[in-house]
Amino acid sequence: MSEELELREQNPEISFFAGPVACIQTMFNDWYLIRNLVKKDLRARYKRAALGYGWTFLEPFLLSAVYYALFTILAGNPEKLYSMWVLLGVIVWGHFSRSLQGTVACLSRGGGLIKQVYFPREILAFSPVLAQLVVAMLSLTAVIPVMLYLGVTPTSSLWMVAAGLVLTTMIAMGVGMLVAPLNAISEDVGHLFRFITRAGFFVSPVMWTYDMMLSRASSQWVDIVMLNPMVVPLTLVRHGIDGTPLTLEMNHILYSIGFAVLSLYIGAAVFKRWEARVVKYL
Amino acid sequence: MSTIVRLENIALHFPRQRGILTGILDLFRGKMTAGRGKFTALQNVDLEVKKGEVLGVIGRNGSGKSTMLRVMAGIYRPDEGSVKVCGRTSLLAGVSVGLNQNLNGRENVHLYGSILGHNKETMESMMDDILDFSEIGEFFEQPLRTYSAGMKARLGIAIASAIEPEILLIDEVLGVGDPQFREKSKKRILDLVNNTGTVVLVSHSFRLMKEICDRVVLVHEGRIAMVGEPTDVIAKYYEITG
Repeated sequence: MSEELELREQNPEISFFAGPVACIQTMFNDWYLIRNLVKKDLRARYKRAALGYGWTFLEPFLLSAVYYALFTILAGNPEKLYSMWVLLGVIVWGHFSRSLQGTVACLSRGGGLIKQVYFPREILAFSPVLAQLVVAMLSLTAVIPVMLYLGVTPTSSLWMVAAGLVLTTMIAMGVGMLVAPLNAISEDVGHLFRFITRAGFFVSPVMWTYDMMLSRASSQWVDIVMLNPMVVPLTLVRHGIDGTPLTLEMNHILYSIGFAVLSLYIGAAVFKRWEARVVKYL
Repeated sequence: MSTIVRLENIALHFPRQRGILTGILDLFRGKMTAGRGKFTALQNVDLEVKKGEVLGVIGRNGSGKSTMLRVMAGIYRPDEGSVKVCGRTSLLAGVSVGLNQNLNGRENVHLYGSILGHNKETMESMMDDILDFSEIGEFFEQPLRTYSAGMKARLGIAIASAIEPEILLIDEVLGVGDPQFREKSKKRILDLVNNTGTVVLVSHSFRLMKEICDRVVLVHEGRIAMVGEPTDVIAKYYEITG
């Protein structure tokens, strides 16, 4: 008599609420694949550059010099630490915008692979963000000579740098995963998000700071600007480095944390719900 | 023999265009239905693959053979019916798809192996075998962009065929490399077929089908036209296609 084998569905449809749990499981179960894809992304980034990873240091440095010069021409002599604040803003915003765009495009870029092999597709959303996180951390070394020049010494507030980077990563990954299935259907979504990250540069505290805004804007404008969830992470990173007391209001901090957690939860749920459906559009 | 793969009343539809509004509506509806703006790739597909058998799949180009294999592999979720398997499937298709130009041979073994679902220890243990089979010698430590097309294909097939899965799905990967390597690859795949137990093979090589398949499925216009002995099904293929 023949034995009965237990037949199971591969990649079965899961409930909306089970999606984030499945993503966390994938993160642990497929770490070897994630690590290899991160390595591939990093290697591709500077493959033909003589300076290689030196660009992770040089690029934010040069950009900051341009923004610093621009700001000085437009607004006169800035504060002593302004050059360092711009550099930190450029690094954190660069991490956010590249991570967001990488996640938005993860399904459409991975189409060739997705159609040949089955593997948990959320891995394609994790790997560009983690690769970008490595780049951001390397870029932060560019701040050290500026700190030495300005006489800034590290304080116990350094944990805020990690907190700011974690929040930035969560927001970028969450929003990116939310719209990645739509971008697989039509790349108009990717173009729209490229515009959003470019415009977001000006309405986020990259060239300006939270404290500058408080001193110049009316309270009505402050409320509107604080709807941008990136204001808090950028400000956290700056205060983490310069060691000055945090002036952010608690409700703004809680809003940003809530936005990051909720966007990541909903993004992971939507991604897991729709990824199998959009494979046919790739 | 017990069933190891079961396709029940499978239907699979694809969008003809990539309109954002219709796409979003499709996402909210869940399953795609046949109709205007859709192309039906598979319809009413019922098939059982038995444990230990070698099943061939033939049909004209565009008949739905590769799509059916991808449904078995879990790449496409069917719009109607269900696909169930027992154990892990591994699809050999497009042997260089998991390779990266900027990584060297050794790093590509880890990358492609991990994409295929294997762990680090398994890939480390297969490293010497892959190096030996691929015949790329000292290039193994060089970036893939320095390889010739043939060398990339050899490395790809060496990695993809290094590990024996429970259910092996093969989609036309036997034609890569020079004649000597093609013969070597064929032998490697045949060894894999003998050792794996359950194999579903898409190929246009009817000689190979007669040689190794227990049964053959003829797919025609997205439907299964016949399942049976290789000689009978191949005869039916010529009857249908003229």
